[in-house]
Amino acid sequence: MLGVYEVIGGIGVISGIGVIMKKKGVESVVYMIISFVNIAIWLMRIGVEYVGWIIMLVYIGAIAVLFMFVVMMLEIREEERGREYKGMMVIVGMGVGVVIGGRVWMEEEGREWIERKEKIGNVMVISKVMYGEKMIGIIECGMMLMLGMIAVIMMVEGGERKKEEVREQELRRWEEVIRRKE
Amino acid sequence: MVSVYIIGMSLVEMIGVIRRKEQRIREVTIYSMLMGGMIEKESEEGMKVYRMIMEEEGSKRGVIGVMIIGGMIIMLGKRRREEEIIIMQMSEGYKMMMIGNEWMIVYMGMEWQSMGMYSIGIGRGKSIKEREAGIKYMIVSGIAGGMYLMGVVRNYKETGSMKIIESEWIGGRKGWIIGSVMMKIGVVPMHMWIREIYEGISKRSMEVYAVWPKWSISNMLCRWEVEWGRWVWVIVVVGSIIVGSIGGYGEESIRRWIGYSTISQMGYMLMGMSMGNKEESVEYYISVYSIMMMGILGWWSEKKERRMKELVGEGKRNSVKSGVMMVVMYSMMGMPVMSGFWSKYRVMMESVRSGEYGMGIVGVIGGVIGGYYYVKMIEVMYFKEKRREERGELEKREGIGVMSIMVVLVMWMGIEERNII
Amino acid sequence: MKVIIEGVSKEIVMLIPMLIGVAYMTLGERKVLGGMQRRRGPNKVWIEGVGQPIADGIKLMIKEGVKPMRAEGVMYKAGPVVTWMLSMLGWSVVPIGEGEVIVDIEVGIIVWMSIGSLGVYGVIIGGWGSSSQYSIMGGLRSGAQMVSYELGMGVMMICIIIIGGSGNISRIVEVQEGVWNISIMMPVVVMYMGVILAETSRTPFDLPEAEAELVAGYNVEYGGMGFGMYFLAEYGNIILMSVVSSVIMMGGWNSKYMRGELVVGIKSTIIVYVYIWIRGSWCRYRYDQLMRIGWKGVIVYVGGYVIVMGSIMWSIGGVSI
Repeated sequence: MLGVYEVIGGIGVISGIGVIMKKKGVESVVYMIISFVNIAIWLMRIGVEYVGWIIMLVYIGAIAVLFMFVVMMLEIREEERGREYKGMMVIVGMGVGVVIGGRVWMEEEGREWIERKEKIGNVMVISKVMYGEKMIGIIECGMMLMLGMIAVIMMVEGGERKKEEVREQELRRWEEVIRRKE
Repeated sequence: MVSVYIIGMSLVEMIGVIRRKEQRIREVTIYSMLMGGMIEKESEEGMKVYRMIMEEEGSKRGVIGVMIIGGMIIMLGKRRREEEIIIMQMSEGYKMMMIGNEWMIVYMGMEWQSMGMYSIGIGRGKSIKEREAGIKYMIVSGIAGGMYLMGVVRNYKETGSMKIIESEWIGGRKGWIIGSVMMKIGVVPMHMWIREIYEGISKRSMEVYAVWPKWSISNMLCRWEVEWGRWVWVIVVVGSIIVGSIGGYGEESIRRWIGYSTISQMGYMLMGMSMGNKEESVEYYISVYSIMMMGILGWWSEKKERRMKELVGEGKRNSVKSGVMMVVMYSMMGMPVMSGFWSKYRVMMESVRSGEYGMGIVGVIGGVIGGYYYVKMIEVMYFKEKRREERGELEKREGIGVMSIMVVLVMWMGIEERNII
Repeated sequence: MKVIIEGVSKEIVMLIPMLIGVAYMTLGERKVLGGMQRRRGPNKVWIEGVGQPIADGIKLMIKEGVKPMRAEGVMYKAGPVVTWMLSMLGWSVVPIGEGEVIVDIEVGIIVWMSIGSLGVYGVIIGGWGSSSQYSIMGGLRSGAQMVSYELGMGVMMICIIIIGGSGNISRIVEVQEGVWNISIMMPVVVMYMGVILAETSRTPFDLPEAEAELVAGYNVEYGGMGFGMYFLAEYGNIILMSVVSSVIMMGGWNSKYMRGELVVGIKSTIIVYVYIWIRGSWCRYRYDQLMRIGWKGVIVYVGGYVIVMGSIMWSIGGVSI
């Protein structure tokens, strides 16, 4: 008898294979989204539904949409690049999956998280951990985002640019005009 | 004090956002980093700031070193203001790596610095080579980050704790984390990226890539008290010494030459990582390595040459600089009196003390083989025929100051070897 | 098995009135617009045009759906279905009365938002699957608009969650027993109206179907039931948005004189009327103005309001009921 986990995991794995087997970029992204949805549902099933829905909201609803935009705009030609590696990649991926997943499946799972959840609720646990003991991590994330913004400015701006002082120019011209009149 | 540094950092960011005066940013950055690093050596104040958020004392020497190296890196050459701010922020990421007492905090520090690394590597994005190298580094560090997370998950699953100190290093569970760290410093099983990426990135990026990550990761490893699996350790060390020595043998490009030298030096560094007193062996080794590498970078930052052929006759053109460079090269090779010898001696003694005689022998042989390509540089500079056209030197670089300080340090650390640590 | 049957039957009981509501909302819209433009609107079918939506529906259903030759089969078919399904799925966490909700969970508001954000895919997939430049551009524009305003909506929801102290929608309604959220959120309530207009692609933010630039946006290649599903999803989203707004902003089933589902219905109808009213009286923004309002206006100001709201709630120690 197949359980819920097997079905969800199976769909996730099959769509994961679909990501690399599909020729068109957009179809690959669709498969990736299906795989993400399955991961989110898995998380909901094991009792961390807040994280699952956040994955749904952020990864699928925002980030994967951007992927899709980029893939659509690029209009990747249907070249069969890297076709010879595809089979090998699938085998390697399945091997890694079996090694990792098999070990996880066989070992006993820890219940501590879910037990804590039962008492004070899912969101409260996460917020307590995030803003309490792991506060420094949040600060680090913020600083990292700031670095990212500065880096984007650096990469986009290109060469040194002369800053135009519009107001000064206007004033200068005005003075010139007046002088000419005199 | 770290507070000097923090005030300086916020000042720089404020000036950078509001005033856009480049020169001032540069000065404030350099002075605050150097001052912050040097004053901190004596005071307890600095650590207090971090203890507020960490509740634990980190690797103090490492933090000081990160700041001083950062100041030196900015001193080496003129950069754009965003790059200086990024370098300043990256230093904070390195500190997180060395101070952090939790796996995730260390991970965030790692990602922080590598984000800065690849944005600096890509630079303005004008040259295709730079762009390619930067994106390659992004992929490499992405894979490394994934491996690290995998290791953390497995570690948490088995020990139930995210603290670094509490979790013991048993069995196969350290493999992922160690692998990712190996990938970041580029020793043998994961060294493939060094050749391509070092060839691609610009000279300014090389100054960041060559010293900083190695310094902080080795300090981090010292603090973690990793118990290495014997065979992994042997393979990593022996492999990277051999690959670094032999690979750099026929190398014509100076960048790749630096890359191979890095691989073999990191191999020696890990040799001392076995057991016992890491302060004497590894920390000494890595500080000597950083000093020598900063010396080389200081010399190289004013050069336009990309290949070794073009250095012919350099000894006559710039006799003082080349002489100084020769000292650094001999130290890199492991000549006695210079500190490079003592650092290699210490790590080899450490490995012999832990019963790995074979590793010591490989180290000696690798040193002899690898010595050739340091000597080759000197040979090219002094004993080859003069070529016809000459290239001018880059203006507005301040490498010579850094280089002279570094050479003095190389000699001093060699001569005063007994009294250090 | 019992759980599944129960859930499905609950969903059906909720959906059929909604579909009828959609049908008659179109009639109402046409009537109101007619009134605003001093004409009569549909008045031929049955008494005063009451049968008009049914006639329209039958027409859509029996019309032949022509698939464009170059269209991508699966994607072309999946687009409207995905959009319609997600539009229906959003109802599963929204309470329309005290305890009258299909699933009552702690993170309800986040569930509703993430289902709404998935709705982008139907539009993009449909636009891409049609293999027409107009459709692709329409889909991209629509997707970009929805993603941008999703952020503004998210920040608003943070405010609401801070006020309510929970993500559970029923709990949010309980908190509003005395004071409605609309008065607490007064400084940003106009922005909220703009955001829900943009989320459902209505005037003045109906850029996806800008007739002058794109023929009719992402659904230009669809006819028959494909178009019908997009249409149902769009109007269903409007009604859902109105119900959610009346629940989280206007006090839900609480009011001074009476309590219950009817109150929610009346409030939602008022919001639906405002939708139509705005459509009749405002003109459309340009695309760059739309993006500027979204990114530089709404997100910034509402983000500031989150800080204000957070500090107030922190200083009074949160709400307690």
